[in-house]
Amino acid sequence: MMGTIVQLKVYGKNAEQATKKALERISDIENKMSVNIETSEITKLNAKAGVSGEKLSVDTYSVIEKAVQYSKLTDGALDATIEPIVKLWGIGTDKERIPSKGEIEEKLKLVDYKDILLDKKKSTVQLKRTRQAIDLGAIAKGYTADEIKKVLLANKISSALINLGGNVFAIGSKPDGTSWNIGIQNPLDTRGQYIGTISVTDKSVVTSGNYERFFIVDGKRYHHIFDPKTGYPSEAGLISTTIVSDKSIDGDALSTSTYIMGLSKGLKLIESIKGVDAIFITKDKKVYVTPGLKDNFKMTNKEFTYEKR
Amino acid sequence: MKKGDKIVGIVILVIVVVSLCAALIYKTSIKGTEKIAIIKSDGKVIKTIDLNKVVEPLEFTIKAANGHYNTILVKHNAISIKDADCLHKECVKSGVISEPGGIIVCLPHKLMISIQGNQVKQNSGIDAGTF
Amino acid sequence: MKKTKKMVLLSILVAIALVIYLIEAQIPVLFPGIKLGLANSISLVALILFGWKEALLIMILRTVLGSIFGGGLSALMFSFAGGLLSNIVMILLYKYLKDALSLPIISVCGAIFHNVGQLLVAAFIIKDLRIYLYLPVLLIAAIVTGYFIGTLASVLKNRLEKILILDKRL
Repeated sequence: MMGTIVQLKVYGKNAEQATKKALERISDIENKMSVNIETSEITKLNAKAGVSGEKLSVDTYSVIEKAVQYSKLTDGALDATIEPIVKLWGIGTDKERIPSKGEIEEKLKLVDYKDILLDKKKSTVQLKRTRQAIDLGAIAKGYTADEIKKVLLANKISSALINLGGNVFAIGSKPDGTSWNIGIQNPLDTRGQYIGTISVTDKSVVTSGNYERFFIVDGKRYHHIFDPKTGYPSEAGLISTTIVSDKSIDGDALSTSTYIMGLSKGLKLIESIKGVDAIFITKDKKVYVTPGLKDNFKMTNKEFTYEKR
Repeated sequence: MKKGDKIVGIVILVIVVVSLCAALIYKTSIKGTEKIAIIKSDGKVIKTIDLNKVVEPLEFTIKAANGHYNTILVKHNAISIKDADCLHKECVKSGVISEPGGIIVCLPHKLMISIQGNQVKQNSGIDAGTF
Repeated sequence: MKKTKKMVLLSILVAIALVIYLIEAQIPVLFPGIKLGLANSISLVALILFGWKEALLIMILRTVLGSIFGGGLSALMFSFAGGLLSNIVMILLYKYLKDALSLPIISVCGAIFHNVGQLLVAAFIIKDLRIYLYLPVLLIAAIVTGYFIGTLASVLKNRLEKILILDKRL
C-alpha cells in the first residue's frame, strides 16, 4: 500500500478487528492524497491550479495546512508545491533522468508554498498559478501513522508497532511492558543494517535519507529529497536525519526539512522545538544526537563516529 | 501393596507434577511478541521463519542427511509437517504448532521445529527499523 | 536347574520378549519413535525367576534381535538406552527393596527410567534438550504401562513358579 511496504504489529484481544480498520483507513487516506491516483483529491486540486479551488476532506485540508505551517517554520525547506520538480526528475519511476538546467529553472518557478491559498471555512485549497502542483509525499506517511494510532486506540489497542515503509510509530510499550527497540538504518549499507538503536515508548521515529530512492549517473547519486530553492537533490551535508516525536506528521515533515537545511540549522531547529529529538548522520560518517536522546541512543556500528555536543 | 509402595508412589507423583510445572513454566517464559519458527536439522538451524509475516500458505521440503524428507507447511502463525517418509509419521500426526514453546520432532530424520517468542538473536532485539 | 533346560527357558523368554517388542513397534505412538517398553515385562520376570544377569541378557538379546528384525540402528539406540536404564533400576530395586516394594511399583520405576533413557537418546539425536517437554506425558504413560507390566509379571511369576516347582519335583 502507499507504494511501499506496510507492516503492522498489533497486540491485544481486538487486534484482528483493529488491524482491519487500520488498513481501511490507510486506503482511505491514500485515495484522498496520492498524486498517483487519478481520482484523489490532490490530483483534482492540481488539475484546477490557477483556475479554481478544490473542496477537500478534513484529512487532506489539515495535511496541506500543516505542510504550509512547516514551510513557514523551516523557511521554505519543506515545500509541498515541489511536485513539478519531483515529476521532472521522475526518480523511482522508469522515466528517471537528469533534467537540463533550463528545464529545472523553468519548473522551479512553479515552486512556492506561498501560492497555496487556504480557505479554512470552506475547507478549500487553491493553487495560485497554472501548472503548479502539490505533492504531500514528504508528510503523508506521518499523517497516516498518526491516524492509524487513532484507529488502534479507538479499538482498545494499547500496544502496537506501525512501520509504514520505514516510518515507524511505536504505540505504548511492548506487550511485556518493555520499550520498543528501534534500529536506525545505516545509510551506507543494505536495509536492515543499523548504526544504532533507541528504546522508545509511544513515539514516532521517522528517517529521511539519500539511500531510499535514487539513481546513479557517472558515479554521482541523485536522490529524491529535493531542495525547493535549487530544484536539485539536496546536498547540505547530511545523508540521514531521524526525528523522534510524539506525532508522526511532525517527524515526517521535520526529517525532510532538516535534511535539506543541513546540520547546524537542522540541529538548531530541533533543539528549539519541545518534545522533538533527532539523530543526524553526516556524509563523513559523523553522528549527532540531540540532548533528549543522548542517554537512549546506543551506537552499534563502529564505522561511524559519535560526536559529543 | 507393600509398605514401601506408598513412599515411592508419592515420590513418583511429585516428579510428575514437577515435570508438568517445569514444562508450563518454560512455555510461559518463552512467550514473547514474536512467533519465529526455527527449523533444526541434526542440531543445526537451517531455517527461521517469522510466522507473523506469513500471508500466503507455503510448503517446502527438507531433505535429511540420509536422503529422507519432510514436507513442511507454513501458514500465518502456524507450522506443521505435512508429510514425511519416516516409518510411523508421528511428526505428521503431531499436528500444528502455533505458540512459542511448541515443538514438533521427527526423530528418524533428526528434525526439530520449534517456535520462539522473542526476536531471534541476529536482530539483537530490534523490533523495527526506520529506513 | 540343568544348563540346557535353563537355556531353553531363557530362549523362550527372549522369543516372547521379541514378539512383544515387534508387535509393540507397530503401535502408532503419537510421540517421536518412542516405544512403550512392554517387552521389559519379560526382563522383569527373568529377573525374578533367575537373576539380574539373565534379565540383562534377555534385554540385550531382545534389543539386538529386535533392531535386526525391524527398526534399524536408531531403534537399537533407543531400545538399548531405555532397556538398560530400566533394567538397572529394576535390578537394584528388586535386590535391595523387594520386600518393601511390590512388583507393579518396581515395574513403574523401571518404565519411568525406560522413558528417561529414550528421551536422553532423542535429545542427543536432535541436539536439543527441549524434547524433555514431552516428559510429563511420557511419565504418565510409563506409570500406566509400568503398572500393567508389573501386574503381568506378577501373574507370570506365579504361573511359572508353579511350573518350575512341579518340574523340580519331577
